[in-house]
Amino acid sequence: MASNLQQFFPATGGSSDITDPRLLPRFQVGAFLLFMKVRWANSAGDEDNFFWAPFSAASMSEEFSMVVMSTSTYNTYETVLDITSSTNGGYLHHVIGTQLQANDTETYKITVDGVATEIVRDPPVGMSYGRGVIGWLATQGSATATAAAGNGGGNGSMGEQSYYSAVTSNYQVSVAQVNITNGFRFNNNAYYTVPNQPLAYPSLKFKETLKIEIKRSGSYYASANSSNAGARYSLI
Amino acid sequence: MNYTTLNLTEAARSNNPQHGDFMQYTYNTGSIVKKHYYNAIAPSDLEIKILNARAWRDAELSDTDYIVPLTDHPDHAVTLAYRALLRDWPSTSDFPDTKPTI
Repeated sequence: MASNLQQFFPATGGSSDITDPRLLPRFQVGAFLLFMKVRWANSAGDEDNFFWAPFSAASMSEEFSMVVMSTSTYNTYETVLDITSSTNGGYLHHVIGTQLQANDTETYKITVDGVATEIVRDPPVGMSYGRGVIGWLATQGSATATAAAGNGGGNGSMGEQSYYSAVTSNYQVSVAQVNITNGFRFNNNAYYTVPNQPLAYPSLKFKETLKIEIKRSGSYYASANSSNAGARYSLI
Repeated sequence: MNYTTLNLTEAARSNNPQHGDFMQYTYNTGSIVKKHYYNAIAPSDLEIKILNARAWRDAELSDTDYIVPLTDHPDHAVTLAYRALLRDWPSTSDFPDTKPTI
């Protein structure tokens, strides 16, 4: 619904909200290297049930959604999330793809207020298997259980907290290992954290409707959760 | 935020959805969200044990990272052997109950 403010500030200027999914960062993350801190457990990796528990929790129905994608039918879109109406709009924070072998493709179809955009994860250079992720992630040190001097910042630590090692070659993302395929950055053995407060990060704004669909050409089994795909969002 | 549910897979199960059903949540603000319902994924005791074992293993590897490039370190050889045991541990029958030692 148009507002008076929109008449004063037309779409060609002013707003800094991201509404084009192609402007979101894209990551290709190795198996067991994508973490999230959930309230009832230590930081958990993407193949752990802990990681996926909030995606299926009814109490978090305004923030998480997921689908367990088929392992027998491929190249068909499956719906992760479909917001057909929202009073004040909201934000898309993350789209988390399934575990794939390197030679498979996965297509993320993100429809924002009726405008569909398809983003294809092509086979990444240097990766054997992993998940495609769209949205802002934080880097973290290795998933250590304790924070010790010269070590990573500890379980679930994010960003700079991970990197207080005096040995600067330790626990830091090595740019030399980055490969980029269709915008998906793959950094061998790099750990990432899905921010548990995603509204503190840039996100994609939708005014009324948002639909997330994913299709893939194959699958990879690293755990029972490998075919889980998810989305994080906020209604305003 | 309160909401009402409609099971789009089987309307009769609107208040008792099954794993995988496609649901419509209509919030009291007017927002409508459609997504799948899954029974909450609760980790088992074994999964918790494996998670903790993996975290301990990763910590041990991280704590000994600094010795790897120090070829004249007195514990260099034994540390490399220990790290090999750590790496192999998850694929052995000792995992997750019996930790490798040196």
